[in-house]
Amino acid sequence: MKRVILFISTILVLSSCVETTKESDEINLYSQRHYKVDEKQYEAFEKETGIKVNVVKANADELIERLKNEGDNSPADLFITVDAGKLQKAKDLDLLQKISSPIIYQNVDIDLKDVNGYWIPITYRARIIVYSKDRVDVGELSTYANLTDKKWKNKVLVRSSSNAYNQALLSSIVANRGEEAATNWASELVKNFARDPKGNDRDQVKAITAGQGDLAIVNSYYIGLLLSSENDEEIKAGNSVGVFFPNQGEEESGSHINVSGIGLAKNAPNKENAIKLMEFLTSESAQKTYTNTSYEYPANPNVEPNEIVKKWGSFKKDILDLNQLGVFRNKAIEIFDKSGWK
Amino acid sequence: MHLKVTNLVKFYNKKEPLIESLNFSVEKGEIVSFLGESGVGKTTFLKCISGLENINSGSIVLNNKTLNDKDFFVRPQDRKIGFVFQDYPLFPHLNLKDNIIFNLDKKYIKNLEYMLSLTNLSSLVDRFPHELSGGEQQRACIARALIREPDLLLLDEPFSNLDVAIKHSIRDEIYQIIKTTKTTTILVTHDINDSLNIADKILVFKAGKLQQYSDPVEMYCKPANCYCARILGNINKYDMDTKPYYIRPEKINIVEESDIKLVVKKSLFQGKEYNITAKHGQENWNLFSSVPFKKDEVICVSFEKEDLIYFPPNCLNYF
Amino acid sequence: MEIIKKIVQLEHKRWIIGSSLIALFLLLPIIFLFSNIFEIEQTAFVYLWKNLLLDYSFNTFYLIAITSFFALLFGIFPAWYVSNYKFKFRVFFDIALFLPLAIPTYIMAFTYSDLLSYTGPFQSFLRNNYPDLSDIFNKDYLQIEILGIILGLALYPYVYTASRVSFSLIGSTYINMSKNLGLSSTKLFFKVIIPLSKPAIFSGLFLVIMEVLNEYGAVKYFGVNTYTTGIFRAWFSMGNENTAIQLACLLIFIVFTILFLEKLSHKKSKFYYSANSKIEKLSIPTTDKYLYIYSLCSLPFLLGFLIPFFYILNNSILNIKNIDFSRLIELSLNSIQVSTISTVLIIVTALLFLYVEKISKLKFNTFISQVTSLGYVIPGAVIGLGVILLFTKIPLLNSYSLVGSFYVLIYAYVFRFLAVGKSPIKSSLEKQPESYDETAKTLGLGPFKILQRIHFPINRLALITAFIVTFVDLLKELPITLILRPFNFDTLATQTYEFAIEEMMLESSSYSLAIILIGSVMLVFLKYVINKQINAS
Repeated sequence: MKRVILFISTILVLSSCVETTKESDEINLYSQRHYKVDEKQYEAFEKETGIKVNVVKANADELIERLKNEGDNSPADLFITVDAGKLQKAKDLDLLQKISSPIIYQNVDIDLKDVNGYWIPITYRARIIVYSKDRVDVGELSTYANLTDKKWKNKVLVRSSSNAYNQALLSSIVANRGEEAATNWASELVKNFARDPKGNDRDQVKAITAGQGDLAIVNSYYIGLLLSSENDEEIKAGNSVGVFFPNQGEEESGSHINVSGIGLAKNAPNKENAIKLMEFLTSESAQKTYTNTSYEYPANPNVEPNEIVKKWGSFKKDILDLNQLGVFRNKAIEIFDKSGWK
Repeated sequence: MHLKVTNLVKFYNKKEPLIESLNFSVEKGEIVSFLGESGVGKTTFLKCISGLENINSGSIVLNNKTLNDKDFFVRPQDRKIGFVFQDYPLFPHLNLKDNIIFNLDKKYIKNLEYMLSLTNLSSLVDRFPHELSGGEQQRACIARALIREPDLLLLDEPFSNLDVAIKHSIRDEIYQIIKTTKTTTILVTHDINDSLNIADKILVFKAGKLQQYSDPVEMYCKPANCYCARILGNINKYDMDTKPYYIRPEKINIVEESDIKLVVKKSLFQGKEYNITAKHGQENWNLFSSVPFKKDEVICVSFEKEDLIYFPPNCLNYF
Repeated sequence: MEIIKKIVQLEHKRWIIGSSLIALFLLLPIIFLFSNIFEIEQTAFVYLWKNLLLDYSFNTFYLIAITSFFALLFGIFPAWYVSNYKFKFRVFFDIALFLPLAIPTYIMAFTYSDLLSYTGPFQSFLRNNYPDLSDIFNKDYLQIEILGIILGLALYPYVYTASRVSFSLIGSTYINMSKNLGLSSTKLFFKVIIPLSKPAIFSGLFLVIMEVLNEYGAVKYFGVNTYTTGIFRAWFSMGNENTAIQLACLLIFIVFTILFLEKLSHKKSKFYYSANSKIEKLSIPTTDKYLYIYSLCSLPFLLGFLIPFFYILNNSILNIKNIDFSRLIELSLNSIQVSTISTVLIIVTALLFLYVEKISKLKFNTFISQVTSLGYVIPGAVIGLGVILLFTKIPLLNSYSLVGSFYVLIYAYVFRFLAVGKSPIKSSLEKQPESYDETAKTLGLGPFKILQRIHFPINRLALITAFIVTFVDLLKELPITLILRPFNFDTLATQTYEFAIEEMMLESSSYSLAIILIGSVMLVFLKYVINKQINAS
């Protein structure tokens, strides 16, 4: 028996060696973002303030489950997502608290933030249409709704409906035009699919280049990533497509955008540090880093987008309250399931 | 009395007890052969004695210490009983020497040399079990049991896995080893020749009961019932005054003239003598003769009246 | 009262009670999950039935069918050739055919889709050199059939190993007897060898099916909706726990059906082959047979290991200036450390359950031992969530913030992978005769000493096998680590995955290469151990 106890205690000692040691000057993030640029930002923050940044990276929904269940004992200070809908979901579940910092609100674009101040944006991205420069006349493109036109039969490429970006897009359509219009749009669009939804956004662009379809709905920064790739073939693929911002007409709502944002956890143990980090991330220097590394649009209006991104021109954003993306999430998934959008 | 078993009952299924009320005792230094057909519960009996199985009622006392009764159970590891299993389980990861001294109390280590020479294994100590012959494995198992000077040695069918050719010599060797160490031994077997050759006393076990417990000569000459009689050798049935009597083949003499006439069916040469099978009325008889007879030849036989053994008429059907 | 009295009388009560408590502890998250949410909600089920179930079921079974077919094709034939024939590089193939196990399925899927994509090397090469041909190969490769083949390539070693051991043990007696009866070598294979090895082949195939049912990363990328992706979607995207649990139940039900069918077919044919009749003399193949042998042995190795390996290696070399070596080493150590600790615990727990099952001989303990194996059929993410619920909803446990600690991560690992560690130990323990235990008892050993001094050394090779198999599986583990890991804790698997889903194949390559290399070293060693076992019996 002694040996068993000895053995178990050895294991416990061993495992506690890998435990992170608790420091007072630190901040804990639950983050959906796992780009290289994020690590860079946190390192810079640590250097500047001496506050250590701890990160757990996972899917937003899983992190919400974890936050929800940890309740008062949660170690998390900040919750970072790439989808405003998830921030709204967290807010709805009473997992966030109000952020009060004049600096942050000076830093970010007024259109992008939460009206109640429970979360703030750090970057935003547009869900755009890309088209084959060879086979599509850009004059024929207009709106998301236009994609259901019969002339695009077997031409439209898009990824799976389990993807959060598509869910957000459809949520915005439900919010703007109602459930019925959204249902019609989804079922009609499915008829125009060039193939079953699969792969990620970059794969849709490659599929255009490969001639499997002519149009694709993708996030803007993926084109930037393709064009800056180290693989020549990917740059070629990026160059073979054109970028089109839909819904730009005067009567129209503008292109669908979504933010990558931060919420302040309700029981944040290191609230002050957390606010410092938010101030840092929305500052001009950090915002420049974002747009230059990940080709997203900066949330700080004083910062110019990256050169590649700027070339596509400016566009009219859909000014829908981004919380609506979360409100209509389940409705959107139901519509996807019913319309047969896999 | 060294080992005393009183009213031992053992069952897995209450309706069909394997052992019902077994009583017997063994003196120090005796070799007792527990004789029975396969499936009769011999191995279970050994497991009860050694403590691998708990008994349902009764008691087992060894060396004046109670090992098992209705509220007392000594664990097998505390019983000082050596058990040699039928399949000679030497641990495959240990060599012969390490197998023998496995978990051995320091005070017995001095026995090692003696034990190895007694079992004739001294030259094989570094070998692993799979490098040993069946006989060597078995001697190793016996050495492993005996080195810790057990109060009782249990052998489960020790010869059944051996070639006939070497069986006899090994039997003799083991007999020598046990007798030299004066170890009290119970040997379980289904083979009467093993019992007769090695045992001081034989215990015949059948249908959950002890049938007879005595020395071989007595058992041969005065079997308790015809099952015991049969198990030790052929018997020939002879009706006298309408009562069934039985006689051993070697008690029958072939004579010139007598009332008892047999018709020869077969003469089988067995080295020293011929084994004759002949018909007496409806019964088949066996007897010995120094000369062979032809088939259907008629011979006359006689025997002493006191050599006849009486059993009740239904005896043979009883089992 | 009667029961309590019986328990008090039991011989090994401390062991039985102890192992039962540990089993209960392991099962807590699942018990908690199901009891908590198992109020069947009609609407959820109706919704599931109406919109998704048919599609999910079809995809799941179709994918299982394709994967199984290729796993059998890639597994059985090479196993037979290596077991029975003498040819050059036989020993090499015996090891090489084992290696795809070192590549996680999601890496295999990402690698092949990248390799075959329009901008990947295969199509680019054709376009630049053979424009005429390039159109033929300009296809959409993200198809369920392709996914099935890829999974088959990643998982066939389970079938290969099981068949290889079985074929070797069937032995010359049957082969000689069949030849004597006039069977050709093809007939011999299909009429004698395959039927005799059915149970072994199935045990390998069962692992393949489990892995397919649990697969998430690759399946999602290929846009194939299976039960597991359905669980994720229902739970996470829609927040509909009921639907997720219903799908999980369905998944478990399917697994039990498969197991039951296998047992049913097994009953009719309980085979026993004596251990000393193994194949002693390898056959010399005929000249045209060499063609089959070399093509069927090299194809799975080439596609399942060499091509992805070199592609990833090439990517790492291309990206060498960007590799952060200190981070690579840190993550490798993380992976090795957490896998080692968990594996040791898994082996100890598995041995405990099996040993108690052996000494107590109670049906109850057999049942417990089997129920604890259930973790293997439940998707990792479901286990992760069960664990979170358990440690946060129960007041006593909640007061310590255990979620996000290594204890909880390892606890989840143990439950999930117990079955993996158990199976080699189980088959080895079953081979040991009862008289080992009994002799040891009469020689004065208590149960713990018997375990330590007899079973530990005797089953050493099986324990090593169990260790390596579990270790390699843990090295590749993804969903549980993602949900339960502590702050700042990355493993090679999580890092690979994070880069890969962002399509940064170059950046992910050095981390996947590390997984493959560590796994391969372990597997080569394992092969050595297994061959020792084959030769020893």
